[in-house]
Amino acid sequence: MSDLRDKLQQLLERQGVMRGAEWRRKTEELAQRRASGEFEIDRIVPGEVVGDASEGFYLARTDFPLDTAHGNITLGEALLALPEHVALSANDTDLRDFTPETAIFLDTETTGLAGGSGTVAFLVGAGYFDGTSFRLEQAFMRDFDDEEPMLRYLDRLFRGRDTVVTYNGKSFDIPLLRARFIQNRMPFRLDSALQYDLLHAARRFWKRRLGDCGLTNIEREVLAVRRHGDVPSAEIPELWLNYLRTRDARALQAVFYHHKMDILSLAALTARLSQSLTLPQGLGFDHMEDRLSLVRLHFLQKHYREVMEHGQRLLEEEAESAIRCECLYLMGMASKRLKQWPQMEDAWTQLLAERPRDLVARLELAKHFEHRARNLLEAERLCAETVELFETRGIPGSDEPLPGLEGFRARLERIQRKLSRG
Amino acid sequence: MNVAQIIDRLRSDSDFTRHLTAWRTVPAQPARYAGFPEALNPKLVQGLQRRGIQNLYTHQQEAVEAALAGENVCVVTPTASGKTLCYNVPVLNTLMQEHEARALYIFPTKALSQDQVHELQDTIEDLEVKIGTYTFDGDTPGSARKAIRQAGHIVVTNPDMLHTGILPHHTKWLRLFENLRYVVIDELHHYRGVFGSHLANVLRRLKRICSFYGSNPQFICCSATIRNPREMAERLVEQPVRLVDNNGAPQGERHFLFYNPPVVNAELGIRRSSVKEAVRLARHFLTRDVQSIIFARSRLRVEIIATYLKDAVRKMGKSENLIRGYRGGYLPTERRDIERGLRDGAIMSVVSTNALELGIDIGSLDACIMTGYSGSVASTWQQAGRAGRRSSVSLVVLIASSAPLDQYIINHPDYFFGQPPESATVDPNNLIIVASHMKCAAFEIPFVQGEAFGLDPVSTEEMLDYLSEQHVLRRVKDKWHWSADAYPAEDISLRTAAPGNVVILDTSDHGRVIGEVDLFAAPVELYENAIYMHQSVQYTVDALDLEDRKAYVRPVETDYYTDAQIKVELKTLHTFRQETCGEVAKYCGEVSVTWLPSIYKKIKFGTHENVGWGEIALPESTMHTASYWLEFAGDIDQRLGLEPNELSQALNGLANTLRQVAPVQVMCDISDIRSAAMLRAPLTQCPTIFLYETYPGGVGFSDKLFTHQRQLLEAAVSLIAGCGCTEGCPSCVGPALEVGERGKNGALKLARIALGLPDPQVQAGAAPE
Repeated sequence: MSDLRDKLQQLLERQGVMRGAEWRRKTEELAQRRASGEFEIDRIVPGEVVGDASEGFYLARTDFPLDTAHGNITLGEALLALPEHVALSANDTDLRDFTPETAIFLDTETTGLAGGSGTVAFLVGAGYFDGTSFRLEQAFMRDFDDEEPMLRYLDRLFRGRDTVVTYNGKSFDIPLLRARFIQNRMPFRLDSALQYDLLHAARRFWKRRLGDCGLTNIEREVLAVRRHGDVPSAEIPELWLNYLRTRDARALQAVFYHHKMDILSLAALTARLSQSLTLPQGLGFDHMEDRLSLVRLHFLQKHYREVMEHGQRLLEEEAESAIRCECLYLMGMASKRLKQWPQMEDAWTQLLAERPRDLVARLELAKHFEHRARNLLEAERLCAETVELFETRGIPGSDEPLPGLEGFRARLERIQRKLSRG
Repeated sequence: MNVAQIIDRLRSDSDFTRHLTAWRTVPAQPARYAGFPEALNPKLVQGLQRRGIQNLYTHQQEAVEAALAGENVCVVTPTASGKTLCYNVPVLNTLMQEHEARALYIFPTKALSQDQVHELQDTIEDLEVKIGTYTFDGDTPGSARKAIRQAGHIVVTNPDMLHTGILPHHTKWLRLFENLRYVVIDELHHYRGVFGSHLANVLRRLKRICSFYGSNPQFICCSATIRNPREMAERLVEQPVRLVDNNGAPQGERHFLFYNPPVVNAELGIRRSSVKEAVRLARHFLTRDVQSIIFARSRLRVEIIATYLKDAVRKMGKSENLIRGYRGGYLPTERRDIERGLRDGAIMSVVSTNALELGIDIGSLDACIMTGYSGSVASTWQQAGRAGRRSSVSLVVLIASSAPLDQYIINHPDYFFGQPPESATVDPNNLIIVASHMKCAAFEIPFVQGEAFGLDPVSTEEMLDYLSEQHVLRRVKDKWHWSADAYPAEDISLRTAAPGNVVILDTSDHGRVIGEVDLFAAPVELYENAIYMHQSVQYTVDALDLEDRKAYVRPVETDYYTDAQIKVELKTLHTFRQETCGEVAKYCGEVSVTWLPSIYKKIKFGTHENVGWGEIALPESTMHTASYWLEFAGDIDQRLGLEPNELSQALNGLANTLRQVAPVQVMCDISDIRSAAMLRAPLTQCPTIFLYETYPGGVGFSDKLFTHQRQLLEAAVSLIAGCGCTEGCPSCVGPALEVGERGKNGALKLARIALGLPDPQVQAGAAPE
């Protein structure tokens, strides 16, 4: 009988079943340890209180030597980022005077992702270069009344910073911080700084290939960073609110880690983007999609010569058809703007060989033959072919005639009139 | 043919006049003018004159002067009396002088905001000044929002958007709040009951934010005619308000007719359909080229009437475009189109829901037909105001339906014409409502100890501490901070009758939402297997998910309807006021109401046979709310010579009637109040009738009912006594099937006793003495 009892006891213990009294004792013990301040932030995260007992906040400061590796790059490489590359990737010429030394790399952790005047940034991190190192300051609110002294400190820290580098800061971190400064009746110094939002830059280069442009994904794919002991962003607000109630900061360790990694990635990404653009012909981008993104970006910025140059390089590689087609399209449009007619004819002809049903190429080419190359026979052939091709087949899956087909028909008639007069 | 000739024709048509219960003539009123106040910017005066405004009416002048002197103003004048000038003039005058000044306009609906902005923009264009006027509501594209926040001198919005989209983001609206000079609240009478109680709290939040940014705006309100406009305005803005009601706008002679369709089934108290009567009359107007507006109480009725009338004009060989329907949700361009059509005669009849009762400018018409009583004296006058040109005769006809309230009004024209309109009610300190807005306010700016939000500072602190215990707020030293990972305004709707409506989804149509009912009505109407009627289509309920607030239905065709048996238990918790009046006592207080749905019966249409039943498997639900109750003496049955079940029928009959006539005294919707009758109330063991509010905690209706008990009972007596049915019908105490054969008579006796009137039969019996 007693064997059976022991066995049951063993089984229960193995399953982790706790008896009532034991459970109560453990809860009480936990409450006591929490109350004694054993799990307060200063015991969990290395740092110091700035201020005194009546007014202050918690600050964790870390200096990273310039050769600190972050994924496949070192932080110091950000100091080599060239202003023209920053301006190009941001698609913002205001950033043409960017200097890494006076920039600040900024990120916040907040009580809510929806925004609004009641959302608080309880952890504000700022990284900046300080001669021999990259310094990271993580300012933390131990409770709501830490906000004012924290913001006063940040205000001093922001002084003299002419550019703020963020990830999605334009629509999230910056407006939120502005709201916090307004609520505390303080001027918001970063309003006069320029903004380099890496989310937008990342989308320009990598959206096509990677899809998800969240910082963690970009960081993993582009910088080969692996995080250990991270916490999902969505859970962060609740962790801080829990800490306020329990004074148990253990779960916040992961939040500080997450926040630190985010800011280090800002510096590393700035470096990576500029490096990719530095290598000749965009070779810094080793994926065809990324190189096409670069061509597109140059096109957006009206750098048509660069479009032709980078495009030509891309076409020499083994790229898949969709990429080649878009590249040829951009080159066709760029050479038209540059009035480089032979190159343009070449681009549209190649595009049609690749994708015979491309109406833009057909139209551009028809115009070219009719008006510039004065090759009416070729123009007639092209228009007749187009009318035949689309008249018989129309838009796949639809009875509607193709819009624009009428134009081709009119053009064909006009060319034929010219020819008969001719 | 003009209206005067139509009126002569009708007067001599005995088939028509036979069914009239009233023919009143409201004499013409000439215009009364006053000059522009001297303080006005001459450029503004010239601009107005260019727009054809040579003079102000007396009420406009008084309102403008008071506003310019810094007073809060409430303007009360009838439809189409030029009330927008009352606020536009002082606002524009200030904005022309101070370029940074800002104004906020609040309208109850998006449609009204759009119209207002168009008119303002035209005026501003004439003035040749740069004053940015924009609507900011759910339809405003994201790209435009930033510009509006920065450069909108006049921001036009609605309470819901102010509540969820502006106040919680006040730091983005810095320029507006730092420089806010005027808050304009138009259609003030619309904000009664729950909606008004919410708005008062939204305004508390607005003022709190303004004071944070150092501004202190003035309020200018406009209201249709209600009994207590100034009281309403003062309860909403919580500051002294000056009333302006010396209407100087001219008005032509107006004929107001009450028409009661003939009875077609005396036993059931059924009259000829008000819809058909309305169509008949409207057709008459059409053949004589008289422009008219026809009001109907539901979208469906609007459709039906419009269809009939289109048929009719087609038969006359005219274009069916002469007829237009008008419901909520029309686009500004469509409304412009209707306006233009009415002006140039391309449209002869507009059929509308009460959407047009609000101040959308469609100009004035020759005639107005109301299909059914709108529910209040105030809105009836609003609707009537749609007919009436400034210098010619106009005609208004109210056609009653069989509903009890309609029958009461149509048979008591003196009541309607003699009474001032109803008084509107709000209770900004309903605890649920005030607590909801305290959360929003704490999200906007932390509370500081000593601050008062509606309540006194001590009660405010008590509420804040309570919210802290719920971990919604967090108290640190002398401040309370919002401390939850959520956005409080999103979960708080300003308009629902109860917190959390149940939406009805049609599963046969990809879960399309076909309607919603309040949480407390759901167990009564949407239990499993219930037949739910929506726009004359029958649906059967497959499931009711009270937790997720959803009911899943699909259309069916059956020859029966379902009727739930709900056991209602009522307990009185607190008595706030009580008074003995003769034989009865009246009370006002707090009650707890518990519903327990038990079974439902299937009842065949036409024959009312019981063709089956089923159980309702729903939990009971309980609510604390405010109530008014009327208590009879314990021995009332013996004194009236009634059996207990007869007394029960009488109590039920009177309870039904009182609920139906409650809107006569209190400006409320029939769904705002429910009734319950108890043969033996708990504690007192006395026969009691309860009229309780459907919003938890109540919003002030019960207090009004307590105060106006006499008028309420008088209305009930004359409704029951005046009804032609023999044993009760849906137009008075309810159908005899429900209240029993002696219900009608008994209800009448009870009401007379409560009024201290002698009972005719008792009196007859006691005559020898």
